Amino acid sequence: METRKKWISRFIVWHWTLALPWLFPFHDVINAARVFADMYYFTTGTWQAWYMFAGAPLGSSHLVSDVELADGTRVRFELPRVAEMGHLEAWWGYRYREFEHRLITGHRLHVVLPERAMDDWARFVTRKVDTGGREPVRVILSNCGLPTPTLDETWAETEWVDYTARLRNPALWECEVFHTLELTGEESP
Amino acid sequence: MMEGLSSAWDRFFFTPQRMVALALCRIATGVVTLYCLLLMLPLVEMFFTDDGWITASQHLATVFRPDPTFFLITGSPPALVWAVWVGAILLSVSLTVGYRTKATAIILYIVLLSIHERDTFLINGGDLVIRTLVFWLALAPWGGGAALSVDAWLRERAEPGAAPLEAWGWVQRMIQIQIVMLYLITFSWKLKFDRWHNGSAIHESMGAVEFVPPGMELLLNYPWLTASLTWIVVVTQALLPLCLIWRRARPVAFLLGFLLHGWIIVFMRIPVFGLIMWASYFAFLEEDQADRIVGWLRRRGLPTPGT
Repeated sequence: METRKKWISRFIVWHWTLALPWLFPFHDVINAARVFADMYYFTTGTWQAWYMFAGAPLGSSHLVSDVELADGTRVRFELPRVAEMGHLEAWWGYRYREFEHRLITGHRLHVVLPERAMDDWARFVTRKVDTGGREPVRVILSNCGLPTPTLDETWAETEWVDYTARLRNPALWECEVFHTLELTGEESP
Repeated sequence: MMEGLSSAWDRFFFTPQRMVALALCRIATGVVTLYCLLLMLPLVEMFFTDDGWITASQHLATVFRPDPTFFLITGSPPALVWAVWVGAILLSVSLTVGYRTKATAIILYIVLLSIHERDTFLINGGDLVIRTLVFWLALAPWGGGAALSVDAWLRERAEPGAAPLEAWGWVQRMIQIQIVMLYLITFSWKLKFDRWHNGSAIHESMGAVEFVPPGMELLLNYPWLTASLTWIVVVTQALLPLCLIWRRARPVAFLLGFLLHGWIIVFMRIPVFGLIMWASYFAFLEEDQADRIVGWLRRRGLPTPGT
């Protein structure tokens, strides 16, 4: 019994000592210690996104995928947008938002080849869209939306602004191409 | 001095308990896990199978994480993934009702790990908290029929009048430490970023229309309010772990946590994280408080075996 207690105690001390570097995210040496600690947590599958919500909340990225065909026309593919969902629907659909954000920004721990993931997505899109038998030549991935007005900008506003009309209107969106996949003959579906 | 510390350590981690609070945490974790798996059903084909956007081997090549991944690592044909998914749903039901609890928790942990690592682009902090709670529950000594479980009911049938089982409370303590650490670390990281100092964090969130319900973005017209909310969140996250540690202040912590996570669920539309954090609060109940909940359930005719 006592031996068992000792082993459990050692495990407790080990497990939580390794979490301590996360408490002090302000120093390079501690950051290096955290990398070592993370190896343990990843290996046991007990890694936590300890800092969740501490940084920037995920932005309002929306992924738009355009498949360009040999004749120059484009076929668009989009995942359902949380912004257009009702409350209950958003409770499962929010995963689309997170996926889009991570694909667009490569903002995912240990994604070593974000471009490769973008290519995979682009190939998937070519399989999903109806090209009407025409050959797809490239897939263009864009991040569409409007940046949130900063705190300073809204302090500077002197009149009430209808931010719903402004931020939720797709006609006002700005789209930025972040990845293009040229389809070779082999890669065309 | 050392003897005093050793004895305090022993009392804290190894005092025998009836595990009623841990059983309530187990039930709540099982329910949230089930809910999470059901919510993801419409996404299985596209995000988790080899017919979806990325094959298992491509995902593995794209994302380096040395996590142990068991059966989705080399390939995930749809039939296998669906079988694993149905298995995970059954296991989360089994964890909730406490049938073969120990084995269930161990297998569920492995299955969740495999599912999560199959598509790390889709998994978020809430999923990781679920998985970690299941990890701790898998280490709990459920054997032989601990409280509020089918196992306990079977034991009572086999041995009428048997005393409730007791076990060391270290697993419950680990969940408590996990949650306190989570709040403390989040707070310490918030101090690092300007947006939490200058009041713009909640402001930015309210303008993120992919998150907030329609109409919430109008709050941008009230920067004094969004800035105040940012600082309220920071203060709340500083108070939450302290109140959880101090037993007498735990009701305050539960209230703050209910409001904070309720806000995130309703106004940021991130449901799973808040629900699993609420579920973890059961691990902070003292035995007498857990007994009061059991008494409440008993008065409503619900079965409470092993208590």
